[in-house]
Amino acid sequence: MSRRAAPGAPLLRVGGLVVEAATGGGAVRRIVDGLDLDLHPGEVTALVGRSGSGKTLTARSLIGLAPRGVLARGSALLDTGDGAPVDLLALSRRRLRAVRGARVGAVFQEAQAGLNPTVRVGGHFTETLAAHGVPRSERRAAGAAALARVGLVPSTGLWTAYPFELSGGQAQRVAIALATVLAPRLLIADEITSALDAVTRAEVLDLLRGQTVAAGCALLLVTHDLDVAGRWADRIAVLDGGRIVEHGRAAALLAAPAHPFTRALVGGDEGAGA
Amino acid sequence: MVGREPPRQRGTAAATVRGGPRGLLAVRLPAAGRAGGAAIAAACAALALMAAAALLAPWLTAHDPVATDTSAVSLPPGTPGHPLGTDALGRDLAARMLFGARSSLLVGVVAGAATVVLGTLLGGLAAVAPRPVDALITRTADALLALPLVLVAMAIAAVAGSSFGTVVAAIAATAWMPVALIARAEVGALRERPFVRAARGLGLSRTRVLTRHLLPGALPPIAAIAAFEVGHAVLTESTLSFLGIGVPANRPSWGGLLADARSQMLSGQWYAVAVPAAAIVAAIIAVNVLATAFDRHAAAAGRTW
Amino acid sequence: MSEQRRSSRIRPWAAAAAGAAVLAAAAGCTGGASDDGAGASLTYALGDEPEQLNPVLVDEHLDPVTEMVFRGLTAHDADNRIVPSLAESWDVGDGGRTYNFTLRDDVTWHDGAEFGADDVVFTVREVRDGGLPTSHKFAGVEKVTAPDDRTVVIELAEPAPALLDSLSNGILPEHLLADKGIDDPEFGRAPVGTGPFRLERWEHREYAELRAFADYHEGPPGLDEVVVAYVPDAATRLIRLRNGEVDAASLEPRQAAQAAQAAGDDGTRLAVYPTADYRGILFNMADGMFDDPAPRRAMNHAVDREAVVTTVLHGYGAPASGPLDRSAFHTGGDGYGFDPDRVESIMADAGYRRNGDGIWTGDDGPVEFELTTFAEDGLRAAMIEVLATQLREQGFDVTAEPTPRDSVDWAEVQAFLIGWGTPYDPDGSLYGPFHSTEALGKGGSNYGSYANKKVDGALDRGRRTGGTEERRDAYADLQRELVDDPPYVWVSYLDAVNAVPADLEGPRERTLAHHGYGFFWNVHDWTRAD
Repeated sequence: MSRRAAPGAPLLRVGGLVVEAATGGGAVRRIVDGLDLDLHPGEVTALVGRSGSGKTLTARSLIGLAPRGVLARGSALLDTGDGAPVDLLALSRRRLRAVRGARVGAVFQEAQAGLNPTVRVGGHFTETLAAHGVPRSERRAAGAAALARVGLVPSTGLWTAYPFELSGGQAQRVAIALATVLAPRLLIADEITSALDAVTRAEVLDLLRGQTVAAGCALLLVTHDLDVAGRWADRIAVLDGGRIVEHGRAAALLAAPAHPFTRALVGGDEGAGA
Repeated sequence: MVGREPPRQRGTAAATVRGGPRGLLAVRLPAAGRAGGAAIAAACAALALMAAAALLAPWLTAHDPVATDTSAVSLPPGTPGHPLGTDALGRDLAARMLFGARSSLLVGVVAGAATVVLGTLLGGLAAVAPRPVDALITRTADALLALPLVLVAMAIAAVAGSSFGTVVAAIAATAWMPVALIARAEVGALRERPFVRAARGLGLSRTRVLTRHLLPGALPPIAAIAAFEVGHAVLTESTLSFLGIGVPANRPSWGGLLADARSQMLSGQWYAVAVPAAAIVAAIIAVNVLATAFDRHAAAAGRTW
Repeated sequence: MSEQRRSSRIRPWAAAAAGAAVLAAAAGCTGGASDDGAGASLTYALGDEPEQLNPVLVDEHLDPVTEMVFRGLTAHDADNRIVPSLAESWDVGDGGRTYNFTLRDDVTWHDGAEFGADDVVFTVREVRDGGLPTSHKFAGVEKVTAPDDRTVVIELAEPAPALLDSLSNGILPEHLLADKGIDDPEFGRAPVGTGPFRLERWEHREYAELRAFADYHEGPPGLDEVVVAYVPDAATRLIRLRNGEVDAASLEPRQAAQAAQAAGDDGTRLAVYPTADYRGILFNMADGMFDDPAPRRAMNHAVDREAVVTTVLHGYGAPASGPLDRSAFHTGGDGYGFDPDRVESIMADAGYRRNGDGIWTGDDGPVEFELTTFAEDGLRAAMIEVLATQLREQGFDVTAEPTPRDSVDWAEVQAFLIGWGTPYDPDGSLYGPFHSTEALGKGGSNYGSYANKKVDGALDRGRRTGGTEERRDAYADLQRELVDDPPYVWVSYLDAVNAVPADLEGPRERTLAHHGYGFFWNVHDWTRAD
């Protein structure tokens, strides 16, 4: 596995990530088996692979949200911008809480399901900001700014709306705004566009890419769709058999895939795997 | 709410309470189940009437419920000025019934609220806490379900003396279990919802997630049982007062009136027993009807308690 | 008295009584040596059960079983005057400081041993020195000796007219208790006395079975057997009486009123005797709020005692004007009538005005306090409700609040419905409650910490003087002073009501003690037609 030198030091270095799931009776199944990955600031990195390959588990393990019974180990060094890098996989619960949302943001599939149906849009923002110590007087402004950044007009109507009143695209944007309101350096997006139509998908991804590049953060775009990866990612990492089998600059990789699995993916099975 | 409900992680069996509702409320009236709307409306009306009587007591009677009247002793119902008659010390029975409803209702509401709060907190905690804590709470609930209410209440009264606080504590200590088990099942189901995961992802602490997202989501079914718990508390207070371990003896309460009248059974004052007994029975039936309706509704939704 | 229900397991003694009756009837039928009337049995239902059957452990009242099993040197007749019992005569010399008793020589203990002077010396000495509730009865005894088996000499430091009274308490057997101590619990469960009945069997919380003692010094008693059944709930006692499970029962006023309606029809009659037991509202003087005697005097006119007697006691009682109404030392007087005008004038003269709520208010604020009593005693609980209402009507803000016995804290009480009274020597029920040296803080029975120098003086004189005239004067002074500075609102005396079978002969009226004890004072003479 070759690693090409990239401009600037990596924002996130994942080394030897192993994710195991308890299958009952004391046995474990190893899903991710020694994954190494670097994310660079100002770049979108796509993590592609078939369904069941462990993409989502990887993403979730990085912020400690793996399901019950699933254990992750290894190292994931995040450059927080002040002081020494922190290992996301070794953080205490309290530090992890501080990191989530503030340093690492996450957006998941089905954005509307990710919003509490009984809490208004504005309430989501104030709650998150309050949890991270932002003073009451500044919360509305910060939330409005985040919504504006994702292309939504932060009107009172939007602020007081309930999640079920939003369209799919609006909900996804709100979720992104929530995840980025505190300007995290690392954003993880897990299959966020699978449920969107092509036009909305393009809008959302354009927006994300724009933010990433402009703010100099890193975006990990987990997707099964090579097309998406090709058009919006700077780099692609291919996950198969629990490991990264190939990674490189997007255009180059898609033009000339080296690994047999990548070739299979690119070759005929575009869009294969749901 | 949007989204499908994911399969319950802890198993539906765990959400079933062994033993079910106990004591006076263990009997289900089959007819009530079928009568449906009319019976439920009547039951609600009866309980509303009782609540109204309790709230408006000072305006519905001119008599002081604790004032004796040695010139008007043991008068039968229908005597001018004493529609329900007087007791052996000349106290007006109608006033004592109205103010008795008041103290019963006060105990009922406070104890009902205490039950719901205690049950919700313990149930929610059991759902999010590590397995040992969960096991501790559910085992304790099982153990308490096996104990008769009166025994627990007497034990508490023996240690703490009998007072308003003791009665509330006794009721809450013996009625929190069904509420907790519902809360546990609801919260357990909610935990796996995407928005809970998302909230964690935004850096919210587990406590905040529990109180701001999980418990509020579990409230609707708990609210349904809360009204029932108030009725249950009222009846429990009557039982305890009748046994002499409820609210202080001279404060009028329906159970206390029944106890007072017991020693008059051999003389001619049947009404001193009949009136409070009838009120208590009516309350039992009303609460029973509502409980049956709730049971059916909950069963239809896939839950039993 | 407790009014809580008890589970009924009374069948065993009923079977025992029935069995005994059958046997006795069979014995009678075979025409044996038994007299007419002997072989008859009586079952009596009672509420309170003692912890132990030992007369030296209980001050003030003697339960029926102890009363039947034990005898003292003296006893009381129908007028509550001292008469000889185990002592057949005595001399008093040295100005009332030396008593010389000559004992009967025909007295046997229930276990067959001979009764003698040693028993008396043993009892007096052990009680005096034993730190028991009854120790104060012999506190003044300097020396007690037995020159021979039939003589006992008691020497006192000062005259004590109450001594003869104290010696009516049961004498205990020296031969059984010398080694084990006078408060031996074994003895308390299986007592041995010199009375007309001996204890055959005692099932706690159920019954005590007594058999006639054939060698009783006055001859065998008229009844062959008495069974005392313990039934704490008054209503249940009446039910048992009605359905024939017991022959006789001690009744509370409400049940007595019900029984009176049926009496005669069901083969019973009511024996209604006056008692020296009175109820009064005790004021906690240590509180400071009752320093001014005017409200206390006014309140004594604010209660309608007749109404209380009629309503709460169903007529089985009488208004009280002081602690000595039923005593030979009672000095008459108007007592306190229900007089609202007097209330007004007393309070107004003392500088009180009615405030906006109609409550008497003085310099220290309105007269308001909480009146409490033992919640388990239904009669007292009902009485304070009535009294509180009456006092409120006259402008005193009183709230009735019964308290369970175990929770009563005398130091915290404001006013309490208390009960005292003795038909015997008055000192026993006067010194303790009213003398300042017996205040609560000093461990005495003066729970209200009442302190009045003139009352102290009168009580001291009454306790120490030998001559009846001097004593009478002392107690007259006492009663006068109690009117001016009342420690209590005197409420009423109680009557004791016992339902007995119509065919029972023998019970004679006498002024009974606290809780109506003493009903069995002449049980030896009781007989029943077969």
